[in-house]
Amino acid sequence: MALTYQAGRRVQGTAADRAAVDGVSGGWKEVGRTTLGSTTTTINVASIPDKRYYMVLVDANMAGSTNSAFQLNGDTGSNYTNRKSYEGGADATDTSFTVGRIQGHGGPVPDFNVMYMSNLAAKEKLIINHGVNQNTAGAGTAPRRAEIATKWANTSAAINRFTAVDYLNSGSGYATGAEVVVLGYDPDDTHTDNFWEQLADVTLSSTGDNLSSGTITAKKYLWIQTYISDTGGQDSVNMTFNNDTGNNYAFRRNNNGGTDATTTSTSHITLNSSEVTEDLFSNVFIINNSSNEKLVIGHTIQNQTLGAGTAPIRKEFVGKWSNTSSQITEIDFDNDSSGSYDTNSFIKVWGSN
Amino acid sequence: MILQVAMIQILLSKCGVVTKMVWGKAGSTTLSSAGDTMTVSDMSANNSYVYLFHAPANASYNTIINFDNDSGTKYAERKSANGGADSTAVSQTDFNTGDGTDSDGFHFGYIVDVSGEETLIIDWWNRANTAGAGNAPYRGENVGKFTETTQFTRIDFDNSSGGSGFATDSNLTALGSDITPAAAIPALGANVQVGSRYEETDTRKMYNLQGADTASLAVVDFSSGYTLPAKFSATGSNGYTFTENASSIDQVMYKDLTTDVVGTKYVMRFPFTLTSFTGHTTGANNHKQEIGLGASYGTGEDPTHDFVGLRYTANQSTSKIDFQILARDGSTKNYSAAYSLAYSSVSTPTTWYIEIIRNENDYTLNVYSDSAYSTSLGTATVTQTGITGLRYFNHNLYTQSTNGVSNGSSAGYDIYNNITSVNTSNTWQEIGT
Repeated sequence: MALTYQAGRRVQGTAADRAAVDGVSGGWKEVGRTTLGSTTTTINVASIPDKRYYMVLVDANMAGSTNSAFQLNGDTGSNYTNRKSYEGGADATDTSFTVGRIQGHGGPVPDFNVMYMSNLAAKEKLIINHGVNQNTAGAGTAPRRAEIATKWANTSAAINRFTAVDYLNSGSGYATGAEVVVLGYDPDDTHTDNFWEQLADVTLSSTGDNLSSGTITAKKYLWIQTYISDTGGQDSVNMTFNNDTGNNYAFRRNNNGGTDATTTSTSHITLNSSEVTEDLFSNVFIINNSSNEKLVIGHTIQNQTLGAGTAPIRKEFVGKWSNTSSQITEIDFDNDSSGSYDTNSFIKVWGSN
Repeated sequence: MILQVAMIQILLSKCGVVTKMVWGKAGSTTLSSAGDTMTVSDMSANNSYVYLFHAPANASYNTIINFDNDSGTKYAERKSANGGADSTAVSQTDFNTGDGTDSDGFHFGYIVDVSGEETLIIDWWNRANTAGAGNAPYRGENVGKFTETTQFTRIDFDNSSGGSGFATDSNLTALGSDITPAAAIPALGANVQVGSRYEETDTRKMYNLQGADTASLAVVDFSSGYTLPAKFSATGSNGYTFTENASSIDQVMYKDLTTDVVGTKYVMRFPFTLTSFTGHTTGANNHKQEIGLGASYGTGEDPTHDFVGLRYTANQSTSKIDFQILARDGSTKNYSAAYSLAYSSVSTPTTWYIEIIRNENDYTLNVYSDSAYSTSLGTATVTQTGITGLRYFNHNLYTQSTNGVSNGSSAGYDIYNNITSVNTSNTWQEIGT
């Protein structure tokens, strides 16, 4: 019913007419970025506005034997503590430490991290980071990976600066083009200019053995989600880029928290090999610099048997595509096992420069 | 911005185009008081979600997740804490993330929710452990599933331990991969004259539009009528400064506001700024300030007149500054800390926004970081009977030790009499059916 205005300052309408209706807006928005124009010891992103959460993309292309780490608000005190696992190994901790960890592998190679942060001024800041390090160039060497939980023990200020640093001062810092992008989200945001834009949204219209993004606009940062439903047989899920099926891939994979296994000089990155009997969901980030190897961070959940009587399977993987001349403009998932991908399988790709 | 969004939507809809917003807000909720349940509901269906959950600890809590408030045995999970071996649980009534501890926590995760298929979740968490950089956080990585195949429209993060584990300001947010932006519609009160009556046709209720609260007493000029001893100085028509920088200070700044200034319900607000700070370290000595309303204006370490206000102390035993609510009935004092901050974390200048609420015999201190009094740093409530005769503005300075500095200023204070919460916008009050 429409509102009606009567004499004597009387208004008539429904409960819905009286109440406010929240807008639909907000999401990950770029709130800070620094790109190096020359080799520099730090990557400093200043004047970050106060947001409840941050998503930080660290394209840490390192020069020399830099051990990449980070500090917040320029705090160089012993106010950080980390819990970290490299290559799926046992957790180790740093306490009263002067930096938050990123990867920490010294070496003049690209390194990519995706971090999520909570940010409440009066509370310690909590950070979860997943990273991939290229390791020795070429598909003959598998990349390294890191999983890190960090706490910055500051309880008096919101985050206003992120600085990537070489915590051992052992290298010459970060190479030209290295970059930190800080995305912010706050429940009170009302903007609609989000960082990520959709590049592909493809749902299979008929069963098949290939799920492809088709040609996408090249972007520096890629975020991919794939849902694969099986027709009843067994599916494999092999990821390739730009239809390159040469032995130009290497990856490191962990199943259910076990020991990492590596595969090198192979024709694809294997999310699952002949294992998917019901459905699989994967989340993947890629740093997509043309002149560097493309680095991949991925996680999957695999539903082997329907129903609550069977726990799902989890996998964590990092991978690389050794191509150093092109950006990824197509992503494919292929099945070479007995089953087929069912019709509600989809791939969504988001990206941004 | 809202108008821009609306115009864009109109233009696009005229052209038959629907704009999707990538990873936009599908829903969000923030606790205004401690609790055990956080719900985001009325979400439109999305294939993919990201969730963000940050819950400072009010008490020990363990986070469980469920969808559509469904507590049937429809959940199964696999989880690892601190990189340890996976464990599994099947036929569960919720997705138990296994993050239980008594410290602040942060989760994020991804959900895929395809119509006709089971819902799959990938979850990570970080729990702070004991405060301070000397204690490494705990971490977890989980996957789970919810076997209902209808797309959900509600997600809950609950505390399975009870005891109001999630502190004030805890937040749960869901971001959807395919969000259609929409402009906000303001509440009707923003466009209607104060005093109007609303006749609600579907509920048969009637409302009266109440205007935003205005202070019954708003003070910024301390240059006349206030007794200001040497350690205080009025700053024209914009508040006053205080100097707590020496030993053996025992002074009170005061003014008689008369007996009508407050009743048994009121709210008092003022900014408290430190412009210079050094924590005092001398054992068995006190540095403190008390700001509020008293029945008199005595001095000494513990004056004996009735008083309600902020008790600010520099505590040498903990090396922290404390913001406490103090309710004193003669020589009986009752106080509790709402917010504490390590000496090493105090930067100057910093302004804290102080709100003192009297609700009969309950006295609450809220400490905020912003002038809108919206971002809480902490809260505490004490109960004390017998407090009467509040009529004097008091600001006491009291020091014993020879070190420590807490110099600062206030830009004045506002008093709202006969209410216990301040409305900053017009609101509809139900007046009958």
